[in-house]
Amino acid sequence: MYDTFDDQYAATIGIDFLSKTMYLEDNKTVRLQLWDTAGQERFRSLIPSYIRDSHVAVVCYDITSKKSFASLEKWVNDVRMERGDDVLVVIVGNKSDLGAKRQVTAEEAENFCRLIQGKFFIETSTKANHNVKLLFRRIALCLPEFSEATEAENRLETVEVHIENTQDNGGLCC
Amino acid sequence: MDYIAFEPFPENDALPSPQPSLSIPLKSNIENLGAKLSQFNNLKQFLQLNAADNIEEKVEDSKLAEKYALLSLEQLTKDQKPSDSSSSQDPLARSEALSTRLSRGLNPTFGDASMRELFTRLESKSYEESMDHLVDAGIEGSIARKNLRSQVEAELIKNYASILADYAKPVKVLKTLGERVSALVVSINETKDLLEKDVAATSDLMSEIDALNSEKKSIDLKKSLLVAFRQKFTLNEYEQYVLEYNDINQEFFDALLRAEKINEDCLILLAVDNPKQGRSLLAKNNDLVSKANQKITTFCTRSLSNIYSLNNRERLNTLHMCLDYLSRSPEKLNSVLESFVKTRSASLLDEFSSQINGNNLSDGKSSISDSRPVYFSSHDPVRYIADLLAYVHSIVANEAETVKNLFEGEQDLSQTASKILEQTLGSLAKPIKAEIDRVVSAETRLQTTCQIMTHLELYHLMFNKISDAIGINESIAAAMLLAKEKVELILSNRLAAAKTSNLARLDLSSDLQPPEWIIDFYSDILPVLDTMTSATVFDMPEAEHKKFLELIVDQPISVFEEHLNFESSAFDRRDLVIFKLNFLDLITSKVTPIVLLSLKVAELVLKTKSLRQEAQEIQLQELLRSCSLTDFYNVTNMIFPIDKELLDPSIYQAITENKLFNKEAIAAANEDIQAVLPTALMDSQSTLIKLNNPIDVKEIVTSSFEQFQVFYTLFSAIVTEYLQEPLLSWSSDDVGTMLGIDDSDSYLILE
Repeated sequence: MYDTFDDQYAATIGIDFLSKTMYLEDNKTVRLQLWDTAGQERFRSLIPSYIRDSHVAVVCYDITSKKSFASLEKWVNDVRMERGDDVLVVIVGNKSDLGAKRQVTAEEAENFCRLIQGKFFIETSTKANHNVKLLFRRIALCLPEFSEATEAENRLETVEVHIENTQDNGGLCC
Repeated sequence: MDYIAFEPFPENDALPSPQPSLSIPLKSNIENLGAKLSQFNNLKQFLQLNAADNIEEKVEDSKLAEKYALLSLEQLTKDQKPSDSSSSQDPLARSEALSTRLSRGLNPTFGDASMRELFTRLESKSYEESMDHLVDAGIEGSIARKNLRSQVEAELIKNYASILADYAKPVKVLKTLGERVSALVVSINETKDLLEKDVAATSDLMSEIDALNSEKKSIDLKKSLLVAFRQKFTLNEYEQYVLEYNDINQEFFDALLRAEKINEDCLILLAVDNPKQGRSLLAKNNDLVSKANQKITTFCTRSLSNIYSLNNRERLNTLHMCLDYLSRSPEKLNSVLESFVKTRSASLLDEFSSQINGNNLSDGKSSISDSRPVYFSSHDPVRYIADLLAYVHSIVANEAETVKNLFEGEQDLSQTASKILEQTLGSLAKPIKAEIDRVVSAETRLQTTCQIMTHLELYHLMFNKISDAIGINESIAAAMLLAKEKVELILSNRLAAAKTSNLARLDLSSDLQPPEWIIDFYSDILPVLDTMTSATVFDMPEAEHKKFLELIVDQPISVFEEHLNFESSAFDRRDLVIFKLNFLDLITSKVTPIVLLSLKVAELVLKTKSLRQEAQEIQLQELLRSCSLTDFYNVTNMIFPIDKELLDPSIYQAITENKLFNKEAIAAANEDIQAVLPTALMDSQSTLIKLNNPIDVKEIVTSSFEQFQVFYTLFSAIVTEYLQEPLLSWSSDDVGTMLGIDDSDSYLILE
């Protein structure tokens, strides 16, 4: 988010709010409001209430953890249950810098993304700051067409993005 | 010319003696003669030089010198005679005259240059030829000297004439000039006369000119004063135009600052004798300043009421300038910010209202127009509360972003921004609390209320991180308190309902099983308590936690015991104890796995133990009664309480005095014992068949039989001791075997 990586980043308590303004090539400005949900069980019950208002769900898994990839379907179902087809689902494989420990191939994730009719799939590394900007830029580029009909032309677009983080205590990009 | 110091010679000497030196002051001043005669040294040097040149010649011509000396001496002698009388008469006067002359001669009034010139001229003249004649004392000498004199005089005259010739021309010019000057003087005098006449004639005009001049100076002074005054105390036309009609920009603020400066300066005008002008200027400036302030306030209010307009960077910068200006006047700034807070609060409240009531959703005001409104989930209170607070969380985040963008770069206003955000969000505090209170109050289900409570706790935790949402968080905290109270109220109501319920009383059936209401009660509350991770229930303080535990453990027991008391007539004592034991067993089994209720488990164990002892006593008495040993047991115990550690028959000698202690009675008892004991174990177990906990059954049966065996052993020994006959057929071991007690003899050692 802020081009930094903190090894000692404290675990999310409940739901954290972050915002990032993206300046697109066609002079459009999109402000992304990001809700970062905690991985702790006790906060799971709150997540549906945040999905309710979200336009994009970024569902993350850890490429070195098959288990985290397996739980993607549950999260995507949760999102679809709340928002149906009115939400863009983006699948993100994090920790791409740990290629040697990879347990989930990009093909598997691509196939899964197609299966759930996700918008796109991307592998990132928050630690190595790889593809993180590209992820948010691609999300921002997807959004105007998404909300074209409802947003006034010159108004700053505010889009809520919901991040589902299924990976285990991965470093967070901030 | 050297002066030779004369030495006196004796009169009888052959040589003529020169006259003694004159006592002129010259001698005494000979040392400082050089100083006194400034040219003396030069002269001396010059003479020495000449003398040196001539010495060699003179040495050769010593005769001539001698001759000169002689001549001098003669001359001196001649001069001495006539001077004797005079010197005798007035030697002092003579010496003074000579001194004066010498001084005059040796110290001429003309300077060195003139002296040098004189000598040069003398040298240039060829007097050397006549030099010998000049010093000749004779006629030739006299003539030579006279000639020399005449030559010198002629030359002198010639020199004077040449000098005067130089002055002739200037004199001539001066004469001509003098004439002209004389003419000029005449002309001046004439002009002067004319001027005097003119002055006399134009004196009025002059005085008028003077007056006009002074008036001009005065007017110039006034003009410069007025210009300075205008510059200092008035705005120019352009500045007035900028203030009145121009858009708000840097130029506008410059003009406004100048107007305010003028206002400050005008205060001094109010202190002068005639403050009218000052008042007038002040009024005019005040009018301009107040209009400008009004313009700024209106701009700020309009801009802040329409947040989207501030996406224009220029407008945002102007707003920052306005806020900077207003920050100098806290009242005006507060007024604008209060207006902003009111606008934002109203907007948030409208949106909140539309979310919870579902009205006005189609007017496009909602920032999340395409999302499902919160009220859609109102059928599910737990989800409704979660959605409501998630929506509030998004409002808080949005509002924080908005205010942050508004006051970006305004370091001075950072605290103000925080305050605005706090006030704006604070406006939602009451509606949020009211809505949560409404939901919580309407809810009667314990589990739902507890889930709401859990959600509230989680949101409270999250909002705790947002310092500006303190008002909302306080509302959530208050709602949590209400939810806690609601949980307690629901539990209390459930217990109160059970307490007063006839059905609950009727539920106390002969099967001695715990009533249904307690099963339902715990099936509701215990899962909730089981999910709690806090140290106390709902993170309550210790005292409240204990109170809550009493509510869910002690009070149900009290209600049950009360019910049991009402129905006690329908049950015998053993059944009542079994009922209680079954009830406690149920509670213990439910409570023990819950960590939060561990405090109560120990209490329950104590209560169970007490009831178990009571059941054991009942079983013992029943067995004694069946064996017709009750009276003997009581008497024995009255003499000395039975203690298996002290089974000495001698202690119980007093039993012989009891009428019941006779052979017949004991023999009859023996018969009953033999009839009862073989089936005693089965009989006891069958009476305790309704006791749910088999451990309790075993404990009660075993301990009651052990007690019976102890008594039997003691009583058998007493009978043998005091009736001298073993009237009880079975030994202690036999009894133990029949009652199913293992190792019964291991501790029954009779004295």
